[in-house]
Amino acid sequence: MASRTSIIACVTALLALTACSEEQAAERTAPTGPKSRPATAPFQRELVDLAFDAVSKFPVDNDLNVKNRSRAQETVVDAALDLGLLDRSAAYAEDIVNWRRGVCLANLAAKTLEYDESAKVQDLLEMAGRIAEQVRQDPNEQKWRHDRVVARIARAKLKLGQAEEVARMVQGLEASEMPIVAAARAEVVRADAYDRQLEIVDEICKVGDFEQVRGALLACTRFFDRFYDDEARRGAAEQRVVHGYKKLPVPVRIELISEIVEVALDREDLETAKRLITAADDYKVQAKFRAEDDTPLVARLAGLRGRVGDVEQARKELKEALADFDGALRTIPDMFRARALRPVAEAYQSFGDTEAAHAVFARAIEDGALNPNSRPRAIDLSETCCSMAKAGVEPSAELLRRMTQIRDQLGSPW
Amino acid sequence: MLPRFTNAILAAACGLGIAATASAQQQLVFQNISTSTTWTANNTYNMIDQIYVLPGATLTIEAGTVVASATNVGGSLAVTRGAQINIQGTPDNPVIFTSTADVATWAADGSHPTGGNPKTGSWRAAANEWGNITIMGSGYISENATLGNVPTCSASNTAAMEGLVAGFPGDPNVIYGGGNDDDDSGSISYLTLRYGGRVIGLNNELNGLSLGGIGRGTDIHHLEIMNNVDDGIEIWGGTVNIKYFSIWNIGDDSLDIDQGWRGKGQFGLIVQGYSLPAATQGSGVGDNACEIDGAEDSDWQPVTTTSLYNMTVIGQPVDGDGLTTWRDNARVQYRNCIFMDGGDAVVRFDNVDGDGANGYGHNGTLSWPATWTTAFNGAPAHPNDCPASIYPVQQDGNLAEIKDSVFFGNTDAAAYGEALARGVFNPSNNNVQEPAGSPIAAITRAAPITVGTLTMSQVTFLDPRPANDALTSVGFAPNDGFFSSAKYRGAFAPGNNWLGNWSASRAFGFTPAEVSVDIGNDTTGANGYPVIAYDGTTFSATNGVANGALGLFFGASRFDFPIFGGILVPLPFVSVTIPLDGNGETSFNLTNPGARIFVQGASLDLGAPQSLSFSNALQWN
Repeated sequence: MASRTSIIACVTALLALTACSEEQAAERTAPTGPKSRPATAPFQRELVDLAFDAVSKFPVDNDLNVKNRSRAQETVVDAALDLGLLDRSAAYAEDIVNWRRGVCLANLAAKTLEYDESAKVQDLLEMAGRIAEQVRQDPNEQKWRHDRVVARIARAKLKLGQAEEVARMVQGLEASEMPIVAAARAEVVRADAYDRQLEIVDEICKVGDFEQVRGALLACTRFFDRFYDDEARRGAAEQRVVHGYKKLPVPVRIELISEIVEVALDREDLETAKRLITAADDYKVQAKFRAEDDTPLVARLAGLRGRVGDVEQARKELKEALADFDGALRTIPDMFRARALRPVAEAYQSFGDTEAAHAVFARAIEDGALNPNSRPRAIDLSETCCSMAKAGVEPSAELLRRMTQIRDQLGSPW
Repeated sequence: MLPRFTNAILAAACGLGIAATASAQQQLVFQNISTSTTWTANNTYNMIDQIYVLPGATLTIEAGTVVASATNVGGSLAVTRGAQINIQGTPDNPVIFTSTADVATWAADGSHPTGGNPKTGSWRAAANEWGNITIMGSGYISENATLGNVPTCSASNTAAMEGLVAGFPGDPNVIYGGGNDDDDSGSISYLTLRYGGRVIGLNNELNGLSLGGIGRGTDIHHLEIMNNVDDGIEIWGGTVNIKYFSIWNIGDDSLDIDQGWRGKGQFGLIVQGYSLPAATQGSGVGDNACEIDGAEDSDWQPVTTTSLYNMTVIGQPVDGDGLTTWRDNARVQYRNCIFMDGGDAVVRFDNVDGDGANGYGHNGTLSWPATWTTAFNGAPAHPNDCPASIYPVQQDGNLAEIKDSVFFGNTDAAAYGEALARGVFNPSNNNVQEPAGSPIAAITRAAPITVGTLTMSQVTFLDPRPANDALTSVGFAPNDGFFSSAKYRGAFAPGNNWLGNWSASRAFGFTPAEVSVDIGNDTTGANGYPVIAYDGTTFSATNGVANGALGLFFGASRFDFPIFGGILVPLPFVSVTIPLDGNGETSFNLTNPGARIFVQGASLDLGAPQSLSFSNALQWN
């Protein structure tokens, strides 16, 4: 097995290969290659660093703390990757002490490919592969952890055009890890294979298990994007998402339909977006959620509604959701509050109500700091930082001081 | 129970909900745990109320800690959603939850000169002396009694945990269920629970360990329930996996499952009996050994769908209930098991659970016979179907089946009727029905007595290691990181007893002492993994690759091998390679170096020396 030291050395060396710093990338004004890294503001980078600092304060004195720390760190790496902060992602991954480092390295490889910085991709994948192999050989590790790393490697290799190797790699992977591979396949499948792919989707929707169906429909969201200008193909993909998703749990359905709404919005196709949002609204008649679970769902759809121009209705729904949330506050443990509030803030920000977004984020910060234990406080602070960074909400100086203070106060008891 | 004013004085004195009594090492616990806390082995803890570990808090319990709650007070521990428990018992120093009456039977020895050696004690016909451990998580459940719950897989489905009293409507401290099957409620290892089941404030009883909606992120292994008044372990929904568990002398069902559990289980021992001297079945006298319900009503989703490998199920020969009992569309694959001494059917078709549910075949679901003939992935579509990833455990075979198992000493007239009707003994299932020799090494029972209205014959000694037809198996569990590819039948490897020196069964003299303890690290090759054992003089290995070789690594802790990954401690270790014979076996004398050491075997295939398959691991003093 490769030692932790050698893996760290490889990651560190990789950093040296980075074409330019994140600060330099932020200063770019025009793309210079196939795709430029997105510009990030200093506050976004500061927020992500704060997020990672917070969860890295977990002690590593026992397995449970290592599990909690690593899982939370992976969440920050995901946020950094979403923001195109590749250097930071690599550095963060270096600090993860369990198998989740492999997941992060493979995710970093896939993201790196988007920016055509492929020179280092192979190194990243090899490091991730070594970790997957360590997990496979470790009697204390469960198979799904190995499979999760391999699925992420497979996704990157699909982007590299190594479909045959991927087909071999993913044999026997647990179903729960396959959606990400299916979605990646949809992005690279040949156009002339599209109809056959849809037939496969139909078969999976008939007999597949939850993750297979989810994966198939996630692939359809990619088809929806790739073939947007081909009305017949786009319609076929939409039809699968709309009719194939009805047996999925509501949060997954909302996730899938939101994906294609986002695509429509990116294309400024408001009519399609509105129609799809209406289709998603029916979840309310199927299940009655507790306020802590319902608030994020309402917020997700309200945010989309606001983006298609129905801002007043969106504000009304968010206000009502907050009122319902407050009405049920006694039944919502403090550690579950910020996770419900963040989507509300994100929704406000999505249609330009930055002031309202900031206010809700500020509340999430305070509610997330109520628990007397550092574990939930660290996780909430970190996730709120990531949420603000991704949404592009800059904390006021006062709020940033408060966030820093919460981080500095993390410590025993965890 | 302590008077309330005493509690108040203690609370004022320390303000932490824990107070030392006159005995410097006894800590009374009377307040909920809102900040993460460690219970240490230099104290004993006495819970004198229903204690909640509140959301966000983690209760860590060190190896060797004893939680002995005042007899008949009902002190109990509940871990809420969002909280975690971290029980760090070891093969030498388990964590024990029991009552003060139990502790009073513990003897003195060199390490415990004033008494209190938890590796001693006398079994008593007693239970209901303290409460239990309840853990609540956020996995999917199928509970149909809560207003607003729906029959499809929904993150909105939640329920209030039985035996807990809500402080107010919607009290989150008693709620379990949700939409996170990966939920992590913490870790439990080497935990023994004895004489429990008392509930506070309700006309009810508690299970030894109650697991509601627990996710697969939770780790549970080496767990024992001895003498509970109600069920041993009850699981409602969720995906938690459990390995190495012993459930003995339980007053109701030993293993009770409902509301759509989708976890895995392996290496489980069940010994039916009674826990109270004058009691009724279900409240001190054992009921079913494995009572598995699919969902709260049979057309709800998710439905219990699981594989249980390497179970040893020992019933009560005269008046025991079913060894495997099936209700409400339960889908269970029992493989590599031993079912013996049952006093009722080995396959008991109970169909409904008496709470208004409708049983197999209800509302277009699979009938009872069809469940046994339908492939694991072949159930016909149903309007309530979960998108079921939800069902990751079964990987082949039929939804309901018993394979590669030994049935022995099941002499009741109804023992095999339903099993035969379901094709359990079709040759392709590789089951062995009533062989001449016992599938376990030894069992001794007390003379039958009447408990309530039933005839009970307690097991007083058990060497659970396999014998005869249980020494090997045709198939074995997949090596998936949870399951171990144990190529034998029943919960114990030949030559090794994982109940070792940590369990109540050992303390009470029910199971033999072990110089080595199987600590459960194992992976496999295509032949199943080789079984290694050590009796203090002779080291042996079986089930290896024929004419292969066995690589052995000796070290001072379980973490000292670079092959392990994880924590790397560069301790010295010694490796040796020993040839295996044509049966994949070897034995040799090994002089114990005297220090506490650890050994892990590796089967080395001479044809492909780069391919190592590590066996189970032993540890001894």
